[in-house]
Amino acid sequence: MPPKYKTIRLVIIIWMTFVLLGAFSFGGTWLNIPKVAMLEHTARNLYFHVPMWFTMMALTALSAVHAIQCLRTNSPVSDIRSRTAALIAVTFGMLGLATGSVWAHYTWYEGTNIWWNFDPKQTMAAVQVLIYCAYFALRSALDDPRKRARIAAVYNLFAFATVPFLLYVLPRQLESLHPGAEGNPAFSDITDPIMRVVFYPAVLGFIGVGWLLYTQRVRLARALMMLRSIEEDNHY
Amino acid sequence: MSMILLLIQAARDIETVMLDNDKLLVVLAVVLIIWIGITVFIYATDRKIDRLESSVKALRGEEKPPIDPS
Repeated sequence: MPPKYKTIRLVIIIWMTFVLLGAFSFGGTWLNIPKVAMLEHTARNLYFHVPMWFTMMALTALSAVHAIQCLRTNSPVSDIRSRTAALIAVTFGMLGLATGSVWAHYTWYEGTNIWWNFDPKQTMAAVQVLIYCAYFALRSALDDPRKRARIAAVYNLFAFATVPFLLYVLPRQLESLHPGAEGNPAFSDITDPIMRVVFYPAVLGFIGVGWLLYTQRVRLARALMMLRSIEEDNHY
Repeated sequence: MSMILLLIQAARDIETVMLDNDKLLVVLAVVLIIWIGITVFIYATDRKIDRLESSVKALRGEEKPPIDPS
């Protein structure tokens, strides 16, 4: 493991610890957030729920970059990187859907039995996650590693092309409970500006955590690929 | 003796802080415990991958170039 990785890992973990401390800052401290009716303390979910989507978007971009790299060089390592980034992206997307569902149930749908209400942003995000799930279905249907890498990379680029539309453009056009129609998908009029002090570091921190998980999975997949090639060498 | 009294006072102060603000800091304590657990897990997984990588390297021998399936 390169020393640079160790340093980055330590920085991410310390960074996230401060983000968590900031997220729970309370009365009397300078990061104190106002209590808004209906939201109450759940306003802090902004620091956790929204970064899930930012992390997913960052990882889909990373996945697309390596898909292009895979098409250009035919390198199996690029295929591994592209696939792993998509996997972590799907994971964060599902966490985003789950956290959003819980948050909405106790605020927008308080007093009802609703957990899932097909809010436009929610629907588009679910479609986005499904598009990336289909990427893995496609991969599992192909046996030849070279063919799989190329076809999956092409599909990956199509999947990535839908991200700005499904997560940025369409939710802004449709009537939604989510902030976004006013122009900013993360903040609304009732979002206190002081929340940005924790929110932006939280986005960076969660992207960092996503990167750590991605790096681990890439190293694991590379080691497995090498093991398999040793096996094949011994076999023939 | 005064040392013990100081400790008791400190414990009471922590209790007051923890119960203040709708017990919000209890959630922080829980989240931090989870975060420490996840951190330990990330480090342990990295160590496991290190060991796996070095054993793969040993199996392959250093003289062979990396095998490219393409």
